[in-house]
Amino acid sequence: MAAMASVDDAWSQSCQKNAPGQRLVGNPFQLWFQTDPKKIRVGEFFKLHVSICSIDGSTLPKLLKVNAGMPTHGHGMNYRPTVENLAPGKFLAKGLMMHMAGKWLLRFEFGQGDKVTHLQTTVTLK
Amino acid sequence: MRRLLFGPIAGLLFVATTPPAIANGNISFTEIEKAAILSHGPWPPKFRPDPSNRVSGKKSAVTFGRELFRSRFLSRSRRHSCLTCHNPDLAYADGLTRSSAIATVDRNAIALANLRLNRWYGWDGSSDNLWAQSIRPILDPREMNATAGLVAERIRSDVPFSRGYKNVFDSNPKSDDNQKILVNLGKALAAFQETIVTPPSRFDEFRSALENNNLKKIGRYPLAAKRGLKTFIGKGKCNLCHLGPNFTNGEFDDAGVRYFKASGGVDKGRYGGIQNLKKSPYTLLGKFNDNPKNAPGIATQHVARSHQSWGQFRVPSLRNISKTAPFMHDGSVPTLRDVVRHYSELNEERLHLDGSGLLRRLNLSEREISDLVAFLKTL
Repeated sequence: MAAMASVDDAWSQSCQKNAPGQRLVGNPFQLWFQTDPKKIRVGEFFKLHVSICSIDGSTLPKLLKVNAGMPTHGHGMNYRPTVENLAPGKFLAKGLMMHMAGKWLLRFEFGQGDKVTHLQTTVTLK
Repeated sequence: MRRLLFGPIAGLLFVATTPPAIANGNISFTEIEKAAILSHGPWPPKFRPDPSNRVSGKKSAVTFGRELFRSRFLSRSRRHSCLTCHNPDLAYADGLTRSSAIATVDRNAIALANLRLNRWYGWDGSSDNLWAQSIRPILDPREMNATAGLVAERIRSDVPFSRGYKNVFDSNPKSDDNQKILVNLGKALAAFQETIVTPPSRFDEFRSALENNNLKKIGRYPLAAKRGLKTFIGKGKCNLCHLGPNFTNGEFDDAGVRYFKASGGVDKGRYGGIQNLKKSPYTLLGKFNDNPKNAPGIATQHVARSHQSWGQFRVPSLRNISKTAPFMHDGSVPTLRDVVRHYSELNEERLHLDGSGLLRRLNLSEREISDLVAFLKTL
């Protein structure tokens, strides 16, 4: 429960400058995310707490999908995560599981009107 | 990079020179290799009851499940039992290419051991829990060919089994409906099968010695097995899929084995497994799960069927592997040496066109093949 509480705390502060978690810069917004549990292990399910934070006050896009794959192996996850929009700009992705050690590409898909954009980052599992 | 040195005289060298160097005839492991080796333990893991099965870990259920496992009572003809395909003298497999009861099935019998660690059951993962997997052969027309009604009626009319049922489930089979009785029998069978755990192996002794830097015990592990282990976590990259204490990632892949069935047609593998899972009333998402809060079926909620799932089969555990021949989902590979040779000489054109690029021909030497086999035999 302690780990959950800390993720939730971080989530509530996610658009603040020094919030713990990872940040990806989009245009014109930033994506903040933290895994739950914080340490991802091979073969274990995890969730992603995601916030989309405006940079210039413009309307925020919506997180549509989260996915991951291993480019060097040419495969993705064996599971299709679901995304819940819990509050404006706050999302919870469930059902992620990386079944192999190595470099994974974690990919976020956003939609705003007809426009779909992506942000991605690398996750390395040992 | 610091290397750890093992062999008959390793102890002396280790004391005399730090960090040690590689010596002829000895095997050394880097710190990275050591970490990889240690990740395959400790063994055995602590038993955790299955929350979806309220009698998991219950002594009376284990006893009742063992009786059911041995009894021919669950088959329509009273000629077959679970033992028909899962013989304890054959590591709870049957030694056959493809198992046979009323008819020959399309797949090799999976050895029953360490089942509590699985996420999926069966070569195609049609079940997300052990009690559902235990029900499957009871209903399969090629195996026991029974129905819920048949087994329920037999339980109700047999005094010892009826008494056993009441004792375990605190419920009278005369008042329980057929489906409830069938599922409860599956849960008792699961409770028994969960107790089949492979003991610590020679590899585990080595791993423990490595962890504790016990050079004497490290020296007892055969050199060929050490070389094979080095290939397993190195050139062979076998540990990408065969990882952790149970030597499996619990998932599915295309190993380049034929997927045409001997009986004709194509074995869909994981693709068909997910289809069956979604249709089954016996999953963790269904009403027979005893504790949806603690066994919510996350994997079943999110499992995705894709074109890549065609012809994928489970990545089996490698524990006890030397006792469970023949190998692969269709039993088409007779010996461990043949398995290693299969990956060494892999026909890459045989792999799924849209599949992962993970498997590549290993091009192992004869000695590397022998060493890998020597290692696998210590599991």
